[in-house]
Amino acid sequence: MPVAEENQVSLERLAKRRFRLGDFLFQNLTAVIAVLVGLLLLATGASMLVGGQEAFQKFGLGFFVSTAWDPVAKNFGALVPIYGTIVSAVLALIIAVPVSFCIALFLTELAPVWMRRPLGIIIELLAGIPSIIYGMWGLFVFAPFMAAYVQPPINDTLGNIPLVGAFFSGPPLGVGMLTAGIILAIMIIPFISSIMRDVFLQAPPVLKESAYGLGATTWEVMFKVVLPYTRAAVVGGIFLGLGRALGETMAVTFVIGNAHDLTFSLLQPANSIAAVIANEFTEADSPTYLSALIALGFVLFIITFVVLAIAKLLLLRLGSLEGRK
Amino acid sequence: MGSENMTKPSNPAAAIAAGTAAQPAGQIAPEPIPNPKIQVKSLDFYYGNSHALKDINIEIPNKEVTAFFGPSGCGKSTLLRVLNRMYSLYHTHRATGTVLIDGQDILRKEVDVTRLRTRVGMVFQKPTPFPMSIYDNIAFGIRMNKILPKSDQDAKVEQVLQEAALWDEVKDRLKHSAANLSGGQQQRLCIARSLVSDPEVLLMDEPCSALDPIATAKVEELILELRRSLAVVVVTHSLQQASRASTYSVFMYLGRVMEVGPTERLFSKPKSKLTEDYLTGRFG
Amino acid sequence: MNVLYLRRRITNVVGLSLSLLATLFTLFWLFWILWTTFTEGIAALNWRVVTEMTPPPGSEGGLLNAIYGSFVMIVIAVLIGSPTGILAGIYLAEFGKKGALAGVIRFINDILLSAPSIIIGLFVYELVVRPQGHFSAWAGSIALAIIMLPVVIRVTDETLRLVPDNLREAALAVGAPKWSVVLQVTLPAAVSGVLTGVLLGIARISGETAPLLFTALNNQFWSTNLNGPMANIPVSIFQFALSPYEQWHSLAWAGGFIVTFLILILSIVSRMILFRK
Repeated sequence: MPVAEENQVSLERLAKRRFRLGDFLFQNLTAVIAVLVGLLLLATGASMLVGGQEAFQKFGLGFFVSTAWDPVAKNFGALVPIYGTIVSAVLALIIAVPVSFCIALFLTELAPVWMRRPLGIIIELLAGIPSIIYGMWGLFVFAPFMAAYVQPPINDTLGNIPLVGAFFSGPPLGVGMLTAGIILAIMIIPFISSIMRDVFLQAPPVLKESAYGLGATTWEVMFKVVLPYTRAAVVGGIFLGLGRALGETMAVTFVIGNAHDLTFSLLQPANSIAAVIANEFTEADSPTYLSALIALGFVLFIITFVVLAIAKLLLLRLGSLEGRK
Repeated sequence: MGSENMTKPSNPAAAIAAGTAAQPAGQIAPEPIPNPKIQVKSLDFYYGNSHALKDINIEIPNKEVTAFFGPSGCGKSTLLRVLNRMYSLYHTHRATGTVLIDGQDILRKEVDVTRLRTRVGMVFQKPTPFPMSIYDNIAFGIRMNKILPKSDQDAKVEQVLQEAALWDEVKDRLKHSAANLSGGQQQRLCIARSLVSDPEVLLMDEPCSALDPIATAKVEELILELRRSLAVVVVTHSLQQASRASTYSVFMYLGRVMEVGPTERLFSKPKSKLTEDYLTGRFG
Repeated sequence: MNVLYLRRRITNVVGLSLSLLATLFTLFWLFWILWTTFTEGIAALNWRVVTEMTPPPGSEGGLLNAIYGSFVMIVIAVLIGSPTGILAGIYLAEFGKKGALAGVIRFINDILLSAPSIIIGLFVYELVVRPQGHFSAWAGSIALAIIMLPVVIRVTDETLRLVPDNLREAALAVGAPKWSVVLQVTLPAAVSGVLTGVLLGIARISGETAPLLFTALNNQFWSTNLNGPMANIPVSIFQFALSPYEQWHSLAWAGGFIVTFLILILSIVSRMILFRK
């Protein structure tokens, strides 16, 4: 009897220990996978640093300021694509930010209540259309439209103003920096406006009511009270959109024109980092060429990492702001 | 989620339980008062399908502090939010009847609510400083009403901060963020802010419920001070506050006004049995 | 006072009208894009699209090998990406919770979520293609899995955290070990959310082009060899659209239509699953 009891106890203990072992294994399995995901980002950066090593060694810091792009002489510089990446993304933001604010305002304050949710969902769905569709549409529909109806009048008006004219001159080819910027804007508007809407909905109703209570108009409530209150998160959302525009490949590749000359005219063909890589990767016929492309990828990685990290930190601040109240 | 479901629910069950009898037990018809600032006539209010206010008939005197009190869910905040049409922000909220301010019906569709709200200011339960400096919180309201030279604007800011008894505490840090003030200071800032448009009526929705006793005393003192220049309407769940800081009282229960009268009289000799029971703590 | 008031009212009306206009304006462009994709795509659809291989330059053909390739690579990506993502999400929600490590991983995951897909493509090129010495469907699947991963992790983490704690406590109280509580109680309670995450992940990778360009590349012919280059719809669209041939253009539109339609259906279905609860 005592023996049996002892057995019973040890069996229980054994069972308990096995339970604990199961938990130990399970917890560590999930933890290892999660940590691996965390390391993925680091590995991505490192792999591109390794892949771009040859180019970085060969060209040094001059890589970043050189406008050369000569596969035959194996001389490469990153300035033109870096410039194009930044300018096209900034153009996109200039268009997308005010429009997105207006859409978010419409969806939170103005639209009839029955319309708000379906309209929000439609806009979210449109944010999911793959970028290659935007690119193809840009190439076949929008670029000819720009060449026929938009660029000639811009050429004739803005193109003739001294100084400013340099940004708006050149033959109407349809493709180029401006076209790429507009397509990027159409792509990121659904994205930014969805974030802004979510952010505005988090503003406490009593804050809005107290502004209305002072006799403020809807526009004043949103622009002067809700927007300042949610400022950090709104900027965070904009930065997320910027991150997306900077790294966007397919929509830009089709319409930016793929020219390796540094041109300040927004109507002329240009290039972006992502477009250069996408277009030339399979054609890279020398290790230096390939390495230069991967080095460009590393530059893009750093730029987007910084932008996205800032975005994330700003968005986190809305959460902490609420916690304080 | 739409913003419409973020307002206070009105305890629909209690409202329905009250029934629809023409003159419910314990209701005392109010006596007319001379020169009322606000006259509410046969007001009914609905949150969607729930009937939150039933046949409200009261008059609110000018240059007095009127307290709405009663158990929670009795409709006192709802009634307050009718007086500056705050409820119009939410499409499911609906009011019928008439509310006259200086003889003018504010419930009519064509009333310009933006302008109405500059005449009828409002202060909320929680202090709601805007995310800007102390100075700009006040100037926000000024700029909506008048474009003043800088010196006049500064003078106006000082004046309302003085009126709200806040000037001495903040005069050295006007450019600091209002979020850094204490709760009581924030609430007085909100009161000051609602004074810039020189309103005729000031609505206060439990203005002290988030404050400590010392801050509460300061705000109550301020409320009594304010009645010299305008009609103040305060919603409170605290009987002590109603008796201390008001001169005229409205007792509400289940969406109806049960008894109205000067605070002193109503608290010492309530006419309604229901009021008496509530005052002596038998329910609520 | 009156002039100022009038100006404020006008600003208000102008501002609000602008917001209505901005919404209509944006919807106009987006529907234009959809309209073009659907009309051009439907016009280009015929039986040959799903029965024939991708054609040599200038001739007619279909997308059969590309459809097959996309299907295979997406399936492999889901088989790799969703269990990994779900396990990582379980760590964040059940073990890491509000700890520093979980915070850092969530932060990194959110960056991965928005990171340019072309960079993931280059990463997998360095990781798989270069050591192997050739492009392969495996590499393409891995790239797609990495792109899908953060979507699944995020949604799993968020839905698991919505499961009320007393459900976990009740299960732990009857003596069940933590791992079986997670797998048999918490995860099933969050299953519709996790499924949504997987569907959204599939929607996300279905149209991805850039990462496949450096990994699976493309293949004009039928191939089931996972160790070699494999045809797929997005890269075919890319090549066909940039070509000078009319027939290729219309095949590109057909492919674009198939992909867009699939993604819209996936997004709508995943939302319906989420809202049904």
